[in-house]
Amino acid sequence: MKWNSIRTKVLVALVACLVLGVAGILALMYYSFERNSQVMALESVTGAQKLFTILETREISKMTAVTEALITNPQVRDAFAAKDRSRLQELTSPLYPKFKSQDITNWMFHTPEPDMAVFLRLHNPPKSGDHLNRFIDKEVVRTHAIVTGNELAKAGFAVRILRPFYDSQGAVTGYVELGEELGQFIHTLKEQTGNDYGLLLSKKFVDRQFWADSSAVWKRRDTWDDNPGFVVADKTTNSDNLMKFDGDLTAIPEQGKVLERFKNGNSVFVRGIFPIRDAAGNTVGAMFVVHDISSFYLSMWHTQNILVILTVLALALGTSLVLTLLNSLVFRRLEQIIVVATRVVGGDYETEIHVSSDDEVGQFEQLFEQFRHVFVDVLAHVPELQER
Amino acid sequence: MWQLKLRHEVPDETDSTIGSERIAACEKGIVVGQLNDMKMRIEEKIKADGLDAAAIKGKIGLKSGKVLAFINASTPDDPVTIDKMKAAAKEILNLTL
Repeated sequence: MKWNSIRTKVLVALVACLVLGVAGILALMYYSFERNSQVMALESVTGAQKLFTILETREISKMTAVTEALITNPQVRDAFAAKDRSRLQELTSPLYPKFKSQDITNWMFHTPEPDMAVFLRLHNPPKSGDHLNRFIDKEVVRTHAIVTGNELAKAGFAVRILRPFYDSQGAVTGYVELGEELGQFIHTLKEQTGNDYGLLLSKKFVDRQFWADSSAVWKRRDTWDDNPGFVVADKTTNSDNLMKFDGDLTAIPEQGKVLERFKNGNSVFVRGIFPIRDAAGNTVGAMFVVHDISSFYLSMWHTQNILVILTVLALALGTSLVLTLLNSLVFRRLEQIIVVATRVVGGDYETEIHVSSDDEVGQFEQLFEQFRHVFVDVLAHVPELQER
Repeated sequence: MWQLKLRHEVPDETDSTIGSERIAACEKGIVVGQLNDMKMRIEEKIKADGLDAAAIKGKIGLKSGKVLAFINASTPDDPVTIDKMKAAAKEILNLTL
């Protein structure tokens, strides 16, 4: 192969086109995959956040309806007004398992202000008389209206409803509280979306000793030191690799944030996170969302391979066609001219150039044939070639 | 009237007329004969190998810059042309002149 021949140059140019074409497709597919996975991650985060809000609203509505039934029950109302703990427990404790089956895990009665102590704790009856001093306690005392929101307490991180209880004269006799563990939400979220979730709690709002104690009670490993700023309260996967976040929970924007894409075995995931605020508006935790995009990744990979193969085939076919055309339209005819020119110089004055077309090369063939005639005519007058 | 004779129709170099031309050139102080000898050796080689004479002579002519048909016993031995002719014969016929 001659490196300075037109054929080689054209071939190199076509191969360069092929390489550029394949590189372009790969770059386009990579960009497309990056963008799509980013969009999918964002959709997972925003979708999970919306679903979380819907679940929260639904459960608050449910608990509001339950408390409505409680405060209108005269027996319960009177027992609580009389501060008859035994009677109140007797009336309400049969209901607790039913509530619990509906995910209402916390149920408390509080004495009115200024004491505002726990009068009866249905989920832990022996324990009472303590003061919680939470934001929602202060808020319900201030407003004497229903207060709802997430509240992180020793019993856990729960969405709670706290509302005043009135006697038959309409005076506030105390408060009733219902709560559902937010950890349960992530399992519902997983059922609804198929994604994996993790509920993270900021260490600033979690008592270290309580975390150690509850880990011991539940016979699970104390994970306090696994992450610098948070603990994983609950998660839908056994894999510890999926929940990784190095940032500050309080710095997560309200609309959530897409984290990185990562591979775990043969699977490809995208991660995102959105903040969870308590009733006072503090970012006390976050929901970690892990979306499996393996099928999308495989599909993209498949499409990319097909595109690359098709591009290579198309460009190889194009290269072959271009070279064949160049060969028949230009190179072969030029070679024929060279052969004839060489033979004329070698003394064969009879071989003619056949003008095959009136294209550019054909015009040159015609010109050269005319030149050959002139050359032969000139030779006829060269003394060295004359018959002596 | 001039009449064109093709190379194969040109009389052989052994012709006595040509020998006399060489003597005449030598008498004039011009060195002649080497190019003509080379041409004859090339023609012998082509004939011996049964090659296409026009094609080979054309190539050598183009390569050396001298049309072989123009070389005869009285052609002056230009050193540059001789070198080119040697190189062309070597390259095209693998013939060392």
